[in-house]
Amino acid sequence: MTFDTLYREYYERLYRFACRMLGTAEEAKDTVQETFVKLHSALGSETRIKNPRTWLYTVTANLCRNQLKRKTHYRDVILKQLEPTTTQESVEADIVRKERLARMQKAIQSLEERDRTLIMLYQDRLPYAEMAEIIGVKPSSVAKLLSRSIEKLTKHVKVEARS
Amino acid sequence: MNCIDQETLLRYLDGEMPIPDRKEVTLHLEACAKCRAEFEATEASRELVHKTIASLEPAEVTVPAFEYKDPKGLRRSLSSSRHPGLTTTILPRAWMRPAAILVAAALIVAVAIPMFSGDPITPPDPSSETFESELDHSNPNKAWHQRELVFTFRNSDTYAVEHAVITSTRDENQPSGETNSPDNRTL
Repeated sequence: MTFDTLYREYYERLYRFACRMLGTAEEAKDTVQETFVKLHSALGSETRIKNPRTWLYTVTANLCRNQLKRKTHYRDVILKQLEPTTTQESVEADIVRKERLARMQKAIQSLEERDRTLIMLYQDRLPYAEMAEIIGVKPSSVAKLLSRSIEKLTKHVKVEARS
Repeated sequence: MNCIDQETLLRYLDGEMPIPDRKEVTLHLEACAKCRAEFEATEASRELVHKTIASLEPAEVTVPAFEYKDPKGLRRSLSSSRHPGLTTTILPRAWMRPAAILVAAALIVAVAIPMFSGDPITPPDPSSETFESELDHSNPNKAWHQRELVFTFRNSDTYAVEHAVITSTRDENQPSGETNSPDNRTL
């Protein structure tokens, strides 16, 4: 695969991944650009890349992690205003739905760095083996970590709703 | 089979299970109401997480041109696609690929047909002393047709987009099949 093909195929996916991780479009854009600069250098130096997708996600995840470490705390994500799914949906139901999503977003921020990265990678439907390689765990651990994170997030949302 | 834990249900939902194990889980779910309820709850949680994370992403993404510095320190730009600044949306794009292939094929045919139809084209020898007079369009006995084709390609070393011009001329008065100079088209 040429650099051009990889750039066209993965730019959008990596950009969305970086947006989820970092919370701001500007930082996501810089991070993804830096990822592809590294890819360009690696291909130019004839470095052998076994799996380009895993390589790209790993580099992007590491760059995002470094970026987040530079901040004193995980920046609050500006919640998107969600449009109602149907015109028949009542205003109250729409508010409840938005509140639930807002609680979930807050819960994601409370996850540990590795678990949060895994949940963000999970969004792109990557195979468990690739996600394991990217975050540096055994493939057999991925299901357990994901299951634990999803349970934690769901419980957090329910607890917040009750309070 | 014993009742299924959430971890197994997740692997089942994500297709991360060998087929024999998958069949076993399916059979158990058909038979066990408790596990079926657990399955539905896991599926709902999974969907909620996916939906929430999707809300953290932008709706539209424009893929910018890639800029880098070559070994000589010169800034170069690489168009990320045939259409720089192409905006991609989250709408289905399945119809765009076949349409793009058809348009590309039609363009190739439109260019290729005039190129390969008619008599062989031989350009005049530019070193010939009579070259300029041969290009004198006021001479009614000489009718020159000049064709210019521009090829756009990407340099595989620098990734820069470059252009090459191929010019060919033909003397209509020359009998077909005869040439008075070798084909010296250059790129």
